[in-house]
Amino acid sequence: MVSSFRPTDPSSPVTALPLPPTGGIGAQGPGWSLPNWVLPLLPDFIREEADAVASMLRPADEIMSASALHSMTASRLSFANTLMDRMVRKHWAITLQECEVKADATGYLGYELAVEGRTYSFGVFSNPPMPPDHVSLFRDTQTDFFAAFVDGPLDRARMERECAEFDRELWRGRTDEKALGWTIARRSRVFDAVVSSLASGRQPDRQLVIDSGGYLIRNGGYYGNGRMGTAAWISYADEDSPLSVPYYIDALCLYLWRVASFDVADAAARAVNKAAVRLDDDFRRYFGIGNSSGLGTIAALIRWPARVSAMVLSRELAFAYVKSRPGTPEPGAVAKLIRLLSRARDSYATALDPGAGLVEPRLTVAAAIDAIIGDVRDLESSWHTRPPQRPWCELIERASRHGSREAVELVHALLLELYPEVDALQRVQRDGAIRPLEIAPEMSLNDLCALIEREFSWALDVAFAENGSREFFWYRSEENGENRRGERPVDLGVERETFVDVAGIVRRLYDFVVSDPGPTVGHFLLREPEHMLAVARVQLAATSPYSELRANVIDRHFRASDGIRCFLTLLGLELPAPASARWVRGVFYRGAPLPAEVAAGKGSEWIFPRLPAAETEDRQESVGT
Amino acid sequence: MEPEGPKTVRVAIPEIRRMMPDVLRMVGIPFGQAEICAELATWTEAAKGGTIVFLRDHRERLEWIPRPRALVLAEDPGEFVVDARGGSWLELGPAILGFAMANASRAGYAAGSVRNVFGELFIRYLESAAARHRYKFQARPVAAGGTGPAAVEAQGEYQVSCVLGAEPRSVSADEARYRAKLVSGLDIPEDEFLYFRSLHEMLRVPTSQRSRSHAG
Repeated sequence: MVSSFRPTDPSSPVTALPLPPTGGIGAQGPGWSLPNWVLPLLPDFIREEADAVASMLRPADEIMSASALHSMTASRLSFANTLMDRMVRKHWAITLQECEVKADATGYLGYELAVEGRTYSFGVFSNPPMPPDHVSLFRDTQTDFFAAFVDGPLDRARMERECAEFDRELWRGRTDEKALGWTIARRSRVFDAVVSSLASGRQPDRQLVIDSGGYLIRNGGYYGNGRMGTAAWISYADEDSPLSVPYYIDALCLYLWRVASFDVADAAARAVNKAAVRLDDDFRRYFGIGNSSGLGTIAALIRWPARVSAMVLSRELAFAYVKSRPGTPEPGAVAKLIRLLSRARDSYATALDPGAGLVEPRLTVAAAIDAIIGDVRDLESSWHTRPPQRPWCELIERASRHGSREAVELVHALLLELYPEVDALQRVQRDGAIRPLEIAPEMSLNDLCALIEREFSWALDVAFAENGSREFFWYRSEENGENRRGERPVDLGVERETFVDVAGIVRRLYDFVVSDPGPTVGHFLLREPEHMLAVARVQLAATSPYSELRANVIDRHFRASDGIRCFLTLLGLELPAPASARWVRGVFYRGAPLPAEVAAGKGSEWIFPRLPAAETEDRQESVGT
Repeated sequence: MEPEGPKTVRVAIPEIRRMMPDVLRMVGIPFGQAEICAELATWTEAAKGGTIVFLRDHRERLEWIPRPRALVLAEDPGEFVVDARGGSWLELGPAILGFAMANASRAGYAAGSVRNVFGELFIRYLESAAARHRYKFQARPVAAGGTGPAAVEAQGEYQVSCVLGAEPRSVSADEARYRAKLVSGLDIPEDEFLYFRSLHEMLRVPTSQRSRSHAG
């Protein structure tokens, strides 16, 4: 659903050649050291205790397994969250300058953004809705909403041209480098009901809000970084740029869709009835922006191992830093943690449960969080008589006894809220993401074999002879290049499959090199160049921890939804709700500050918002009809 | 009134880079090489131009199967002779560079020849890539039986050298051009861009009702 940028900047200070002595984060667990390239990127307060922090890192076999992906949650270091923090700190101003929306919610909205001395614009075109039962897919030739994100002041004529080009050519349309991206969205099933409610002078019904899943419109994808002729990310990613962090522009457009969803609903209601009420700020804050992502996410996740590593490593470093904090926590920390845990518990308790084993049952997670709140209180009371060595380590250990892995992940994530200084790990995120996929040809084949055995034992353990172990293949359809997953024994197109089979290529590489007498990787690849990609990935894994999903993604039993969830939570998706094993839905920015609050520099502790109080909906307003 | 030049399309390098592996697969390069060779092909298009034209002009030869596999005809410390057996620098260049670097890493220096190879266009990338890793790599055509690009291609033999520990050099003009294009994008003749895009889209699989049910 999000664009990918291509990190081709050769001026990147990192290099994979020659490989430093390795000390990976494989099955061995703690006891390894951080890769060399990471150390200069660490903030001083972590670098000074790098060994202690590294000793707390969790093994990749544990974190990147399918079962772990199944439980991943968003955190303070997710892109949407760090972006939100920056927006508030830097007082980003988002202004609706033009709004022409009819009673059927069609029309145009033009926004201008004043961002750290730069101006951007966002032009939204709202089209007639697709039929209510229409399932949105990438092959669609129409969409409810289209928007262009452009560098520079709002220019209606330009926005009209962008929209016309999309209408005419869809994803084969062309724009120029002033456009940073195109994005599409769709109304939620409660959108019309919310508009009707506002038009009749009432705030939406609480149950309607719960049923909405927490959003009015759903993002259908952001496409930039060169696609359709848009500007390359690298061209506006200089260090001081507000959009220099990977995925910030994607996350910003998600936020803008959220803002637009309120403005379209308000404007449509006003077009129906001039005395319509405005959607209350409490509801606005509660609503996020929906998102739905599918199989293409897996292909992207696998195509860019350095990015996955950077995203997961920075997060795991933050967890490790927090768990290595010694002594009794600062006053107020426990109260804040309990507050956040309580809100998380309530969110899980009321969240829709997708069922069918696609997530841990929501109520199980909620119950575990409740028990963890008890753990926190117990621990705090014990600290008076027995000062803790590493209090949060102890908490995690206790939390893992309650039968919910997702709850444990959530505690990790919420603990970061007590230590905002971990935001400095964004440098690892940014620089790690642009590490090149290269080959160290000087490496001996013996070392390569040892590396495979250490970092890819999970792949060597796959029983490829077993029925169903190579069941699926990914491919792109001629219909807009839509990502699809076929069954290898019966479907056409295997010869054109999209690469996702990491376990398979590493297994084949190992079979080739294990008895090869050649001295070096360079000698081997001259004879067997088809193994280049596998060698590059294996070597990258030695210095970019957590770069690979440790799962055979083409196996009959692999749930693509687990991998999709992994990516989306790293972006900031809250409460992932797979619609099936191939689709994951969820919400970004639920509870996030509104534009006026952002501009005023206000907004913190917004995750896991509570449903607006009942009095909000009861606040009737008289309507002249 | 001056005649208009050929119509061009402004294309960002990430767009080319993203499409390139699929394009290379459609000219026969196996996917296990395509991702690595895509970097070479993209850099060359940006820094020097000509990758897309090369793919168009040499497509039939590139698609030839069985795939070319280089053969080491002779190897002593610091010396080698490689037969690329009709392969291109595009497809085999990274492997040949890796072999030369592996050799040079042991003896400090390696020299030799590469025979039966075409696509000189891509050598500058290999030189630039080697320089990033403190190697000085050079490949120069062996002059024989005529001059000019056609004669070089017909001959297909290159003298190659690779030196370990070369001093970091200033950014070459090609590398500087590549970095500039990363920011500005490329103006590619429209017919070339459409050809490139058509190759990319050839990897897509025809649809059917059953195929539609695979969406997700």
